[in-house]
Amino acid sequence: MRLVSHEHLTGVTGEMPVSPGQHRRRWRHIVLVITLILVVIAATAGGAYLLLRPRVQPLALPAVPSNLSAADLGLAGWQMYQRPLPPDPLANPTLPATPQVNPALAALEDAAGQALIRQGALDRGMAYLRAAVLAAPDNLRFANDYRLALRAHGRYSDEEAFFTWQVQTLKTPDAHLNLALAYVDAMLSCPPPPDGLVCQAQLSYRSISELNTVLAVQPDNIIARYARGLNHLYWPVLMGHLPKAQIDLEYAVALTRPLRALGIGSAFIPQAYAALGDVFAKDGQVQAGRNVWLNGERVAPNAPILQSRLAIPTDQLVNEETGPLRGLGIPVNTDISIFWSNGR
Amino acid sequence: MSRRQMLMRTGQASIGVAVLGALGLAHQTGWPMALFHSRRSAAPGAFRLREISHRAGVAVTHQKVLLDHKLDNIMPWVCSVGAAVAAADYNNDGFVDIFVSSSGRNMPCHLFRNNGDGTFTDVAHAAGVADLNREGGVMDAVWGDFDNDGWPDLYVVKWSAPNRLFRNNRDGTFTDITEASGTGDPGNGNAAIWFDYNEDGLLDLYIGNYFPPVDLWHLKTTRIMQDDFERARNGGRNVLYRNNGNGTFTNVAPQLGVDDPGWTLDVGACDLFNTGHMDLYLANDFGQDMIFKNNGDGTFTNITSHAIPIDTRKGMNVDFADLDGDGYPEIYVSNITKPGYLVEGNYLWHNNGDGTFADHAPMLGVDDGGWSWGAKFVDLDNDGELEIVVLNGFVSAGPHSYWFELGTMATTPGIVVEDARNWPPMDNDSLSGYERSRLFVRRGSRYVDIAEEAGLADLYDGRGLCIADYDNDGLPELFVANQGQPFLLYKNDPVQCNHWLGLRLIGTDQSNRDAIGARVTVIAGGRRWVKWVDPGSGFASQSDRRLIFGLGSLTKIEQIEIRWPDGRVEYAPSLEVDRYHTLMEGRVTA
Repeated sequence: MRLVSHEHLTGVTGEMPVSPGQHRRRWRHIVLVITLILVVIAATAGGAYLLLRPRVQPLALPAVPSNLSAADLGLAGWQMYQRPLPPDPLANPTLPATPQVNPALAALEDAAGQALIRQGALDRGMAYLRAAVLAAPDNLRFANDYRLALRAHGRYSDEEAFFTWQVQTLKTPDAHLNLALAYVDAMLSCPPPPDGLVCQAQLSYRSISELNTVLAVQPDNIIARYARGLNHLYWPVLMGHLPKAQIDLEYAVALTRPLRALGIGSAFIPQAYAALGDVFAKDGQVQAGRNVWLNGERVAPNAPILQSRLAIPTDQLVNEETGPLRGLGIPVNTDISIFWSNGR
Repeated sequence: MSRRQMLMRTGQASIGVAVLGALGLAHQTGWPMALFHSRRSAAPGAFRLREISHRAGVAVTHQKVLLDHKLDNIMPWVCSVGAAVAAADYNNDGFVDIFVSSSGRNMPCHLFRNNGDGTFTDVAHAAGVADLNREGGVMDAVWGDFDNDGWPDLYVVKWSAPNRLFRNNRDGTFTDITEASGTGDPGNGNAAIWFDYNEDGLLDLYIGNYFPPVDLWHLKTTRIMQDDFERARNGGRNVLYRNNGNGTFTNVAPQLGVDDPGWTLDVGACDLFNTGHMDLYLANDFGQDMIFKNNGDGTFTNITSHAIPIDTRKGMNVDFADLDGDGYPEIYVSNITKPGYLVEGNYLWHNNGDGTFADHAPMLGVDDGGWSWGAKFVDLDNDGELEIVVLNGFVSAGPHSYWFELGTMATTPGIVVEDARNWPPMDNDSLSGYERSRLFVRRGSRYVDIAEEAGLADLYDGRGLCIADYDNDGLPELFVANQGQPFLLYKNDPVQCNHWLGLRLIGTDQSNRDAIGARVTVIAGGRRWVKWVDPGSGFASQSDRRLIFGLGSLTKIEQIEIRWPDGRVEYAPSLEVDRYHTLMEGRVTA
């Protein structure tokens, strides 16, 4: 059959016929050459991959004190924050008909407030949320829930008024922290960029001032570090805030180690790396920014916030205020539950 | 396989590999698109502007005001306006003349009479309009025939001294009738326009005031600045002088609700809503621009919040043009762009035709004008497409920039910015200085800036921009008033000279004689152009009121419709192109 075929082929090409021994040798040579070519290709591809693959340089992060506690990180109540709220709060017979400032009822009132707002009873829901915060003023979760509810309904002045009052009455780092976050929320009330830049900047200035107070007494407060770093990150580049953003966010990334060691939560970790990388990207240091994100990927594999950044072509990572990363008009999510939540 | 076949197949394979490689490379580098774009970019040399101020005899230098020494820390800021220019044929010899301001104490203003041979002679002293800076400082000027005698009169806006109205004596001289006319608003104005808001055939005056009404040379307080960088409403109140028809005027701004207290740097008027009435647009510094709709019954309605979004920008100039031929004017407004500090972007308000406007400037590529001042639409090559010229630059001084200090002050809560004492000293700092003007030219769906290659290359601090065809060749020139710097005249000499039609309108009956507000629609080659006779819009400037329609290669006009200020509509016969025509209301239709 092969011979017939060969004859047929030779008939077409008009070459001289060859013997079966020569034919086998020829095939052996062909197979050998193909194998060699495949080996060379594989070696070249492997070498190219080794040469061109993304190289992750370790980050030069600041040293943080060893044996930091959850309280040092500003998350003393993290285990409480992680507990699920009472289910079906509106059907709970212990829920008072009117909000009461009672520490024992705070979790239930927090849950009830959220449920009422979902049902459209906005003012009543807010009242329960407020009562929960008043009942447990050192509980960041309740404050966070109340503040986010106010933010969701554009009640920025209520936010500022309430948390200003808390600062005046409590004078605690957490009160200052909540007020700092309220100022960030209030930026949503400014005209959208490129208008309203002074409005935003003045609120950021106020927010930074509050965070300075927190960090003066709790230098390892990871929420305050991150929030202050983010504040600095959003300023127009020539106003000189990027180096300050870098310092705070590098420290915040460094603090993720004790955070992980304490097993508090993982949702914040990719956010920290994303923000630190954004500092460099906004400054035009594209490779440095990507390196931070790649480091983040090692710690938090498949985190969408890091993957989305790494997918951006490097020529689009430019130092423009209007860019996709931390540009003017990109709203900041002040939901601090990422500090005690798991997931990404 | 023969050797020949083998060679052929090898060759084919090589070509294939090469093509694939080239395609891959092209994809990676994007060079085919770059090639495509380079072909579409502005043709170098298509526009040629030559600065000829010395040759033309208009080479003068503006002198700045020097205010009360209590403002020394920010004197470069507060004395940064006043360079103005206004065009009109004041002696009716058929050639447009130019008034040019100076603002320094006792410094003369200039009236450049057009000699008709490409040169000008300064006749301000003989005409009686030179010595205007004995008190206060000149900021703006606008020509208008308020008494409908066919001779342009001159209104001069000043700081801290009464504005001045000069009646044209029809013999090359002027008489100051400020006191008798009651038009001597003593505020600190920066803008004025003549327009007939109540359509009685008499030109009225609208004045945009900037600082609150204080004597800037003798301050009792330093709390004279804006009280906010984005929402300031503590400026001087604007004035609307109604022409009483007997040589006197009455300020009716308060009763009509147009005495806006924003920091107005420019005012403009045009028929924004295609109602036949002239509406007001106020370009306000440090906050919201304003739009007042003319109700057609002598009153206005503030429709700002309905018409445009919230605006915290630094409005400095307003000009109008219908870019799409739909009869609804677009609006160009100057603001500030300084990358790294404040990227506001200029507005190009596209007229939606429904009472609202949308900013198309970023989409069209005309938003970055630097620290923009005078800006005008103009068809420099008469191809039928309007260009946009933007002057810019605030303070050009030493190498250190004031931007950081300014930004720090503006963003620090609690600083009373209204008090000039709280401002950091400017010393010899620059602030968006040494900026090159923009010449935005349409290329496809966007505009590109070709200022430098077109010859608009100076780095002066431009303020008033006047567009006027001083040699009647149908090609408009640029008269540029620079702050504290030389006045420039850019002769327009495009490579391609297209056909054009020039119109000078004269109103009669219930229309003002200057025909300010008249709308002309020209249809040629299936295309439609719409223009309005302008009241003097544009920062510290007033352009030649004659209308020039660029026709490209077209030599025949299908229709010319004139809607006069009093509402009369006339259709002109097919006019000869490449020349000016004077059309008088009531005598147009063939």
